[in-house]
Amino acid sequence: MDERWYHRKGENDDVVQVSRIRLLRNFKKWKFPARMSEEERTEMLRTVDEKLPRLQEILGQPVQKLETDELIEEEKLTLQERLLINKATLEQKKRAIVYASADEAFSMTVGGSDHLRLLLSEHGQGLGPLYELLSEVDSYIDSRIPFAYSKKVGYETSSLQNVGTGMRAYYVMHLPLLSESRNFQTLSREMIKFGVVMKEAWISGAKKIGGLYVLYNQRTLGMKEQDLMDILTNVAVRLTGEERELREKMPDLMLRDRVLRSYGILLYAEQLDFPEACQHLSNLLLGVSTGILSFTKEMSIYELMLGIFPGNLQYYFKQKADDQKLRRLRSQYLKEYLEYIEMA
Amino acid sequence: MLCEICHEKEATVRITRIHHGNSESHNLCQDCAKQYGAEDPEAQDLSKAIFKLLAGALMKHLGPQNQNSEENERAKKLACPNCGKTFGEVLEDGLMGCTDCYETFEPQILPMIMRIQGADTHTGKKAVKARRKKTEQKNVEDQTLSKKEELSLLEDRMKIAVSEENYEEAARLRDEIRRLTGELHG
Repeated sequence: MDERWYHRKGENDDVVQVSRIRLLRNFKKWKFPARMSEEERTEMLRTVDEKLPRLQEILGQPVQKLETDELIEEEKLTLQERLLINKATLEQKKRAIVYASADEAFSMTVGGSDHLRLLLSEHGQGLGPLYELLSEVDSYIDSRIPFAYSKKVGYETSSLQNVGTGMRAYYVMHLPLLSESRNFQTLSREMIKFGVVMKEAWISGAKKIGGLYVLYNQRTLGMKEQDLMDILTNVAVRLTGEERELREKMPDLMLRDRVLRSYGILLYAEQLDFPEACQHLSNLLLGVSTGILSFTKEMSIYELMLGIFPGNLQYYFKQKADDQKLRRLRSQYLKEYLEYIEMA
Repeated sequence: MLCEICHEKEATVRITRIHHGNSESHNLCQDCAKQYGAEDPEAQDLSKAIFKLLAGALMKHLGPQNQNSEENERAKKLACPNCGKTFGEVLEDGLMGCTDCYETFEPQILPMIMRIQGADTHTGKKAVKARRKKTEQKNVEDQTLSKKEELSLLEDRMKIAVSEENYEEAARLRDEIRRLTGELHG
């Protein structure tokens, strides 16, 4: 687990939790996934598997191959929670193959809604290096198996929502205080004028949880990849500044009370449901970012936030669990990690 | 207000999109919106639903009151020679069937792309093959200037035809452009 991407220290990760880029591509040779026959699908999966021997070399790490129709339910759930496979691909009845790097930062889904879905993530802020690497992978594949591309509209995707660059860039940001402030709605509306969408990263029922927000570019066409990323980064930098300012302004007593109250609950609770645990982890993250809490080994609160999802807990403890059992496992899991967190 | 996707439950979530700098909102129920609330906001299904709304609005706009409605009906029956998908089907599910669909339905989809993306011309990374072509082209550039000018003129006219939803004219111009492009590339 220790070499996974969300475990690493990230740039500005007191606020920015994740940088992520997704590219959608289709091959010129075959009909798009919704229209292709079983034979074509098999041929495509085989071709991709055979013609990209340098993939591991470019990524600089081993790549694991996963066949979606060979996965059991628990595996599907945990892979989805770790964002290695998207829900749509798992729910389709057709065969797909996912290639995932050892650190899980890179994944390539072959045979989802588009022929290829390339995904690369990093903890903290840093879209630039991510794009550079992903673009290298992209060009390598294109040179081996040409993509469907037109001079006019660019990379041709199944849905016109993704045509052009086929790129969506994301930041997942931790904005516990800013999201409670009065002008948050205004900020959100303002952003959309620049083509940046912001929404709650995790929702449980009608409630937003964990103070996590995801930012991404709405359009995929008419702008260069770099410009799309620059706008997103500008917005993220501004939000980071505002969130930090609020953290500094918050009276020490209130901040400490909020953080340590959650710390206490996580230390002593015997069972925790997901929204509650997530809320307390959000306060712990606030505590680590403001120096109230510190780690005694390299880890991140974000990895714990991922860790408490149902599928990931079952994967971690190597057992099946119903809701009640999950609540107990969740508190047990957090206690194990809380040993590495101390009051500064 | 009812959810715009399921038309069953009360809409409590508002999703806003931008077109031409104007925002456009869709109201969804908690259940429909929740499915797409995960950190992975790709929301392929939601895209599809929204596309349907857009396509619906577009077709209504092109509807019977429009004098070209016969042509629109004809456009709907237009089929891709490679995968067999008709433009009517594209309007239904919002999905292109293959690379040839983009070519076949170009006059019809460009205004849709404009609506969805606020632009219809790619300016980002070029595919490997397109990059190669460009360097080869450079050598013959000088003598083909006048043809190039003619081409850009035709392209402008096609854009106008598309914006006026005159697809027949646009298709004719597209063929003309293609012929000329063919000549240019020898």
